[in-house]
Amino acid sequence: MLLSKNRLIRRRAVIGLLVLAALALLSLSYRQGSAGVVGDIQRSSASATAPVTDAAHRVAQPFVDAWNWTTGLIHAREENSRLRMYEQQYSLLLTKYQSLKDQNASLQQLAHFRSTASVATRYGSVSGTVIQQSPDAYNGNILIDLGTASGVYPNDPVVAPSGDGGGLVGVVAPNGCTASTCWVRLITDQASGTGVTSKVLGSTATGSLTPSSGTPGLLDLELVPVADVVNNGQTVVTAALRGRLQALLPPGIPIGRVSKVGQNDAEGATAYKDIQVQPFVNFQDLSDVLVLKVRHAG
Amino acid sequence: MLAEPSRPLMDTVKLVPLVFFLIVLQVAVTPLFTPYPGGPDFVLVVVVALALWRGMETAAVTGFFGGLLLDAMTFAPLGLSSILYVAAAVVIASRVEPDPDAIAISPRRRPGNLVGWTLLAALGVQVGDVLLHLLLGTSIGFSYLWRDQIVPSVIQTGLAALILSPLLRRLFRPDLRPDVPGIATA
Repeated sequence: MLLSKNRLIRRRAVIGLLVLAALALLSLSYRQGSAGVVGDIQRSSASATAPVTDAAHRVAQPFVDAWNWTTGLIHAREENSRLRMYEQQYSLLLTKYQSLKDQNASLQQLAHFRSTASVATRYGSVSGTVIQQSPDAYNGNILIDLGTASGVYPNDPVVAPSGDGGGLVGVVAPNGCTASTCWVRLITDQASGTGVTSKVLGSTATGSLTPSSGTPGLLDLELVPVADVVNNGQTVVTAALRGRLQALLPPGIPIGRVSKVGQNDAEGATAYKDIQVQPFVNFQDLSDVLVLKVRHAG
Repeated sequence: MLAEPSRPLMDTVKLVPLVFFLIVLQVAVTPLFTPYPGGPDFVLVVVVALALWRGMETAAVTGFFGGLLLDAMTFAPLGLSSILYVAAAVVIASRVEPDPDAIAISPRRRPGNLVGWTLLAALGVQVGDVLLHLLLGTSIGFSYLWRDQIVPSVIQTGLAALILSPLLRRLFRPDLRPDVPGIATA
C-alpha cells in the first residue's frame, strides 16, 4: 500500500509538473511572441532539425511525384472518357444544328418567295415537308405532308426554295391527295408525258417544257419557233397562254435558266429551236415545299 | 526483478529516435500526401500506445516533450500540443489503469485496442485544440475546421495507428505485471 501511495504521489507530481510547464511555456509563448526566449528556442530547434526535415522532404518528393503522376494519369483517363462523351454529344448537336440551319435557310427562301413573288401573293400558299421521294430514276414523284385538309388540291403548283426565292418543282398529281398527304409529280418526271407551258423572260419565245430525255434533271423547252431570239442565261417561267389555250399553271412561276440554245438550219429540219433549261431547284435535295393554292382560290 | 530498472532506460532509448523520426515524418512528409490541412498525428499514436502499455507517467512525459518538439518545429505556440498530449495520456491511462491502489490488489486490465483509443484520443485532441485556440483568441469557422481539419486528422491518425500498431507493440510490448498475482477464483 505504501508503494502504491508513493506511486500515486509521484504520478500526480509528474503530471502536475508537466501541466504547469506546458502552461508556463504557453503563457510565455503568447506574452513574448517570436521575439523572446521561446522564439529563440523555436528558431534554434527549427534550424537544428531543418537538415533532417529537408532530407525527409527530398526523400519523400519522388514518391509524391509518383503519386501525383498516378493520380494525374487516372484523372486524365477519366477526363479523356468524359471528353469523348462530350465530343459525341457535340457531334450530335452539330448535326442537328446543321440540319436546322439548312431547314431555316430553305424556309427563309420560301418565305421570301411567298412575300415577294406576285403569283404567291395572288393565290395564297401553304408550306409543307417532303416525307417520301421516289427511290429510282423512273418515277419523279414526291409525297408531301399536305392534303385536302390543308386546302391542297390536284394540279396545284408546288414550289421549292432556290437561291433567294423559289422554283417550280411540279404539280399535285391528279387523284393523288388524301386529307393529309398529296403526291406531287415533278416537272423532271420522265413518265409525265405532259409539258409545262413556259416562256422565256425578255423574249417572245413560248413553248412547252418537258423533261430532257438525254440528260436527266434538265428540261427541254420545245415548240419554240426558230425565229424567236433566245439566249443562254435567260430565265424561264410559267406562261399563261400558248396560242389560244389556257395553261394549267398560273403565269410567272420561275422554273429555270436557259443553259443551251441550238437550231438546225438545214433544209428539211424542224422549224423549232433546241433549247435546254437548267431548273432552279435541286431535285436531289427536296425537303421543304410551298403549294400555291390555285384551285382552292379558283 | 533485475530487468525492472533497465526498462525506463530502454524505453527512453527507443522513444527518443522514434518520436523524433515520427515528428519529422509528420511535419515534412505527410503534408505532401494529404490534401487537407489536417494530417495524421503520429505523436498521439505513440502517446496512446504508451498510455495503454506503459502507464500514465511515461505517456505524459513522452507527450510533453514530443509536443514541445512538434510546436518548436512548426512555430506553433510552445506548450499547446504538450498540454493536449499530456491530457490525452492522463485520460486514457486513468481509464485503463484507474487507481494504483486497485492495481495492487487486482490483475492488470487487458490493454485496450490501440486504434480505437487513438481515434477517441484524436477526436479529443482535435476538439481540445479548437477550444484552446478559441480561448487564446484564434477563431476559425467550425464547419471548415470540422471538414478540413478535425475529420481528416482523426481518420488519418486512426489509419496511422493501424499501420504503426505492429511496430509499437513490438517496441513496447504490453505484459502482465509479475508482482500482482491477481485474485484467486476460489
